Amino acid sequence: MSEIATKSELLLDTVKRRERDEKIIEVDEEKIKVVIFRAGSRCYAFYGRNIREILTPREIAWAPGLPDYLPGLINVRGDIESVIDLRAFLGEERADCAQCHIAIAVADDFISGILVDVVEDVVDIPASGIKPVIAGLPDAVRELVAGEFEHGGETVVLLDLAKLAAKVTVR
Amino acid sequence: MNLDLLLFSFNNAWFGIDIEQLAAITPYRDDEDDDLVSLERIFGGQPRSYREPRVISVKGDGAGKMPPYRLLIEAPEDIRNVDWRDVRPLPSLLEPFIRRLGVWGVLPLDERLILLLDCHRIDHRLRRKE
Repeated sequence: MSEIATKSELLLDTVKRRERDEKIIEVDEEKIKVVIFRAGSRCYAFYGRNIREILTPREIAWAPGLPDYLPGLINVRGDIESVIDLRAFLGEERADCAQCHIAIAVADDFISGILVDVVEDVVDIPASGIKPVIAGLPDAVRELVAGEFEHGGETVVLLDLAKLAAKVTVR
Repeated sequence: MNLDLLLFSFNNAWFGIDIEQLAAITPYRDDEDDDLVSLERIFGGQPRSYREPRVISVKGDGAGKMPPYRLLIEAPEDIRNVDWRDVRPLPSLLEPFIRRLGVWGVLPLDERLILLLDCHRIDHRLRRKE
């Protein structure tokens, strides 16, 4: 019996090795949880680690002296939180507060509700799927962006909560 | 420690003032003189009409920094005795904007959020007539 591998055996061995390597890559690739939501005409997302909960539409109490992007405050089981109308920064038409869900967003010592039209999905995506934004966004939105990725045939703009916090926090 | 709060509405929001800061509540008369301050002058916005206007006389702060003055409000709904431990701080994001208007805290009460107004901390520049 010949000890020399045939061409087919060599090819098969190569194919199997490549398949094994691909599986290892799939297992090891970092996944990132994101919360995808709609605000106006586009889909956006925050990192899942930044979203503590999603509240159903509810009354937002008005307070005097606030800028347009702060419609007021809400009571979350006894804790009083501010609410941000994200659309003010996204170049989208202003939200109807009474219809919007509210995402409670946290990053370090920042916490606030953020108006979203509706939460579309909560998914784990491969880190490599997040690409830099190439074009098509106004400069004001780019300031808040961490990247973009494809989901369900649509481009989702991934927002960086820390950048939003820096923009809205008055020292 | 408890607080006795005078509750009234403005622009569909609820406000509460510690009655220790108040000397009197009187009906509004057309011949009111110049020391009368309206909430829209403090909070901004267009002059508004009041269904049942009342004038509250605010005591001076006793330290001479804040003289007595009078504030025009909608007729109070109630005076409520509340536990100070139920008072919540303002969200940090809002505080820089509304603290100078005299709002110092929030009280959840009967499904409403009451904005607590310290009449002695309203920025005196906002009380002046232009």
